[in-house]
Amino acid sequence: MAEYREHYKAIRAAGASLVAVSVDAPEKSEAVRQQLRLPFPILSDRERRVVQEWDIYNPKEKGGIARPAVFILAPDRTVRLVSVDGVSARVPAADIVAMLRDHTDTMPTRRKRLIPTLSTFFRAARNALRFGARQPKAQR
Amino acid sequence: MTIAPPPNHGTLPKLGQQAPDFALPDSTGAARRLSDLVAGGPLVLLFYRGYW
Repeated sequence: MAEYREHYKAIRAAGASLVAVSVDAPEKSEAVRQQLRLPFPILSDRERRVVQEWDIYNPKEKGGIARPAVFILAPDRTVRLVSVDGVSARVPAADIVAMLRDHTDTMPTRRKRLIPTLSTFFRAARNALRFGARQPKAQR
Repeated sequence: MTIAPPPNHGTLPKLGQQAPDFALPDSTGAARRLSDLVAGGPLVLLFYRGYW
């Protein structure tokens, strides 16, 4: 979340917006927003309705929580990127920004899921060289 | 203490498909609809594990 906070301006500059979702109660999410100074909204799926409908529900942990997942949706809700992680790793925010900047409207079909590849690391390294020096290291 | 609801078998929205709409409260309790949030441009939608 803090990592995405650091990239929020770049996401907005690319013409996109950012929303987070968890199964926490709204009061808890508000506490997280204030504690981490998050400039984007956090939605509350307390009944686990959306995470179940979207098949990103993990019932085995902490009373049932969301699996970490990132989507990029076009304005008509067409999925342009989907990445679901088993534990806690996720797509680096810098990669999301790069996709938004490049106007990658459709991912190549061979990449049904964004998985870490050599090219991901090269792109991350390139982005770190281009943008990273001025940004604090992402916190997790 | 929260009782985990039983898992159901929803479907992960696939690349190129239209994600289903939903409405959820934000952290102030105000209802937010996905189709409204996404209307102004691409939306990065981040699901996270939550506070612990």
